[in-house]
Amino acid sequence: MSRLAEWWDRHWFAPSSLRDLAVVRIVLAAGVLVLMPTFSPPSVHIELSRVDESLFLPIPALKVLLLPLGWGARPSAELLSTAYVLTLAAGILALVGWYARASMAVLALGNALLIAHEYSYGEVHHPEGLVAIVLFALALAPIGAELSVDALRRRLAAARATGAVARAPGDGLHPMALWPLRLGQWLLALAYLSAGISKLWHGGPTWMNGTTLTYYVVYDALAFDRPLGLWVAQFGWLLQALSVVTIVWELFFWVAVLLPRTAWLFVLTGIGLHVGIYLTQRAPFFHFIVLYIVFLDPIRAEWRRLRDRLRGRGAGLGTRVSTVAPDPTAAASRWTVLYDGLCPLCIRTATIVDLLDVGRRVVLVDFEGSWALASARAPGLTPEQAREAMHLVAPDGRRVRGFLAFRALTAVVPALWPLAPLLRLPGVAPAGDRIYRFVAARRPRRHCRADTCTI
Amino acid sequence: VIPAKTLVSAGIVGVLVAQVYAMAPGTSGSWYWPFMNYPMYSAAKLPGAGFSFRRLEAVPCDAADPRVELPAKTLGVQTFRFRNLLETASGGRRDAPPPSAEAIDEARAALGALARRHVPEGSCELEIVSRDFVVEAAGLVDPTPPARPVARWPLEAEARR
Repeated sequence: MSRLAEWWDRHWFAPSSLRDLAVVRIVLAAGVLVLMPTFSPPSVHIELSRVDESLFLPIPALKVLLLPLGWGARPSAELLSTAYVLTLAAGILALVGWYARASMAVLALGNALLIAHEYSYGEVHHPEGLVAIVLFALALAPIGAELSVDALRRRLAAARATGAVARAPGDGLHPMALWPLRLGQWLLALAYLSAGISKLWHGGPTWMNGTTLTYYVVYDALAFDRPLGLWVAQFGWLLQALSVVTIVWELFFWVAVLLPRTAWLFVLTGIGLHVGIYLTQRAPFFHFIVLYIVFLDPIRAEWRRLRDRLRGRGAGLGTRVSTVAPDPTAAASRWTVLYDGLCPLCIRTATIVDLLDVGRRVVLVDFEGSWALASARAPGLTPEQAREAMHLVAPDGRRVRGFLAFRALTAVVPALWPLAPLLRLPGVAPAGDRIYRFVAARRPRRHCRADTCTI
Repeated sequence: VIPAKTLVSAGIVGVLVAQVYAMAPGTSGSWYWPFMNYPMYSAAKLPGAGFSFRRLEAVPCDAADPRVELPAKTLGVQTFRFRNLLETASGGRRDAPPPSAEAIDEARAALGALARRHVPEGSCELEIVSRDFVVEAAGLVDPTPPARPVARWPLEAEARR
């Protein structure tokens, strides 16, 4: 019993990356923000709310969600419009991680309400169910601890209080960071298992004869105007092979959960099948593709293993996926920011850079506190020069300063990439340089570092 | 105080049990959304299997004028409902018992009502045409089989323009 409990604890609550959890939050919120208006625009709900009352067959999920209005109440067009706007707003807040858990809870509720309403007129479809469940799970997890406005606010407050760059607390691992991802993995596995078992239950091995898949592809290609489906349907051998792949993949997708090293194979196959199904049959299972982000950790680990093997260093980096351990191969390719540790503004800027630097491409060095390290990274740099402006040192030793350093940084940190082209527009560099010099010359500075003032 | 892990574990078990229950044979599948089964496309088909694909057309009063197809998207109706209406209005599927005369009339009236705002000027009738597709082991035999009319009825007077 204790071994089972240990396995359960390890399987669901092993300390895992808060950053990965944040990535899942971002991808799922963005997915809902794109997919909901695309496949279920407000007009659908408004029209449905006005069809004859006899066609309204509320599913239990809708009854539960609208319980405050009475069991089985039918939502008005106004209520649905309001819910739609609130859901999208909550989605944006969840995406950026502002009051992340509360916004995710509103997103989960609104998303479930709207889909449950759409499916309360006698026609229920399959793509959205799993994501709807996982959104609720995310609302209960520490999704705002990283890559969020919440985290930024916390760190800026800490930077203000301590007078030093506030980095992520602890090692970035948390025992509650894994279970929502695992839940998504198992839900995917169960959904595919359900599909595979149904095919064998109703069709038996005959389902893999090729004729079956051809039949369905042709039927949907005609109904949904998919010429590619009609073309593909002329190749019986191809559809027979795809039938076998489909059954095997559906029946054994759970292997991806228990043997994480195989996840990439199942996920890539899944993306291929879902995209193929969309192109030939217009069945839009994009929610499933978005949900594959719950396999981020094992797929990234496999990718790193492959990359290291290709680089000739063998597969010696360990088999267990460590989601936050810095990649030792990246140490030589990191950039260095030399910032002023006596300047609160500089500390806040460095804190923001640290938060946004997801891939750990930048090393932040407070030259007032670590001059030896700073001069080692930038030989020839004097303390006076360092105090005049921020310096960015490239891995090959080249260095830029001031506005140009900031501009170069936007090309180094992926989260800042959207700014990079803007800062390269004509006229921006001279103006930016003047503004930088103006601010730098007038920036407030302390007389001593926060950790040494009391000495 | 109940530890967070215990509460979360109970929630995980609840969700997984609900999902497995929804998957089980005999349960009404999608009724328990977001927990549901996934039985789509599960019936096997043997070589020689075929189906009739129907479409709705507005027939002009003047035979010299072109016919106009009225797809589900144009009529603003869900695809599956549209397919059901077409099947019923044209006498049902080959592999199912024929619908009653009342059901056929109702389906034609529903299609007429849906088409009312979308038929082009000079239309007098609605017609359902069908194409028969056959799938063999080698794949789809003929991707463009000939179309044949299977049902035709006059538009209501107010729908004619």
